[in-house]
Amino acid sequence: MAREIVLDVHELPAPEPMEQALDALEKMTDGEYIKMIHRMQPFPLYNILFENGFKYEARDGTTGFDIYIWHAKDTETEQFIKHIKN
Amino acid sequence: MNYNQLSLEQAPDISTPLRFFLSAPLFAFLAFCLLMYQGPEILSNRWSPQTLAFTHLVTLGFITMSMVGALFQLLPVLAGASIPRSSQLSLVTHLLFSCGVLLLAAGFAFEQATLLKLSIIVLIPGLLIFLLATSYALINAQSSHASINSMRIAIFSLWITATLGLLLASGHALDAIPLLRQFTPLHIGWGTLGWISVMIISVAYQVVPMFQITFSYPKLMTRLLSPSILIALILWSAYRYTSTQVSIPGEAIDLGFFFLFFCIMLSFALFTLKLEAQRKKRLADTTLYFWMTGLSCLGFSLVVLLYAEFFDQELSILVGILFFFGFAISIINGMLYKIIPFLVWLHLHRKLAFSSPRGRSGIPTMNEVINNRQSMRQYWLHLLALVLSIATITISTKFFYMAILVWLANYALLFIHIFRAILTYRHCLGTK
Repeated sequence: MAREIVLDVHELPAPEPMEQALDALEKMTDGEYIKMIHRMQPFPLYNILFENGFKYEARDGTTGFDIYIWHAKDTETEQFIKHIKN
Repeated sequence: MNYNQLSLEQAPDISTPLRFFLSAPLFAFLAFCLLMYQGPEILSNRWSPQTLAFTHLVTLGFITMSMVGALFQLLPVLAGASIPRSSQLSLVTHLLFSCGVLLLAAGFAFEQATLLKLSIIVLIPGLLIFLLATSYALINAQSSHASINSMRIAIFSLWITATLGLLLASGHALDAIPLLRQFTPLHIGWGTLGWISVMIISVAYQVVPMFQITFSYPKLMTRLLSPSILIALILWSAYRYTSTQVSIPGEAIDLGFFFLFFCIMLSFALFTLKLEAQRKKRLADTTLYFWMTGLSCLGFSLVVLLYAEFFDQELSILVGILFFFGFAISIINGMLYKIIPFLVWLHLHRKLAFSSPRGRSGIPTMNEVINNRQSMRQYWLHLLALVLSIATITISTKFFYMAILVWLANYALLFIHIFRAILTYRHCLGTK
């Protein structure tokens, strides 16, 4: 079972949400994933994720969007996230 | 709903928007040099060719230049709507648009039909490339929130404004084409309301809550505001186009539309001011001051417009100052102080955060890219210039040269701030 790191950034001004996400990404290991609770889709972050070996999935959330982020090579965590229901 | 790997295309290069932002203060600076050269007599005729030169240096050279740069950047950031080959397209658009605006302004200022003809030849491809690219991106946008729908309306309005503008410029430049003066109000209406105002509204929906941590705009408001402007503009244009002569009922219809626009824009200004007053974090930065000034000036411009319509037509220049410099330029200027540091910060993170041995430790914060204390100095200059301009119209033309000197200092300082931010970016990349 993968470990969830929750980042609730929906009330933070730009660029604090991305700063927090980058802090968490530096520490994240295999078997962990980030659940980012955001008011909007952080498109600039997606590019950074894509260019640096991470994957993400954005879903409709209670405050806007929930964005799940994991290491691209961590297929077990990916499978785990696919089974999480909103 | 799930959104898997929506935006994998390359975000635009930092030079894509920055070349527009860096040019904008130069055009405004040039506009005030022209005003200085013409002297206070220019205020006596708002339709003189020299006034048209000044107006287009400001509306195209500063306002549209900044908004085009912002769109190249904001479409991928806010909507996941990438403009294809944005780096190359922005370079060509910027070159053609800059030359076109300079030729247009020179053509008007020196009353040279040849320069006007050249400006039309250069502006048509410049605008067409930008409009086709943004229209394509907006049609294929991956998000479809109110902000994107408003941007679609703004771009549609720019199509109309540009077409009417090129028709009018052709009337000035070519003997074979009559000068269709009845299109002038439509050109101004679509430009100021459909393009400038709707674009500002669309950006406000996203950036006011995002940077100032306010509540979101109510859904009903975001759904109705921009489409109402579009529908009203279409109806008003249809009426203007079909009516052959101005009759008394015709003026009443004009006034009806005017009241509609008045209510829509005032509701936007008042609601945004209310949101900003209720912001969750009580932090005040330069952008907030610019926005508050801009929205207050929008309110004042509408009230003065109403007064000018009934009592004193001479005050229409004051309406122009309040709308363009007080409202639109204040908002854009304030936004530049968020967008530029954010871009520098973002692109440095993209390039250095995971690949540089120093990681994120050497990347400056947004406030370090353009310091709030420095940007506040430019805000005070902007405000002083605004007050002196209003004094020139309402009290005495003795303030004319003083106002221009302050405007020149203001745009020189804005240019220096943007230039320094670019230097900071290059310096950080050089020392990675």
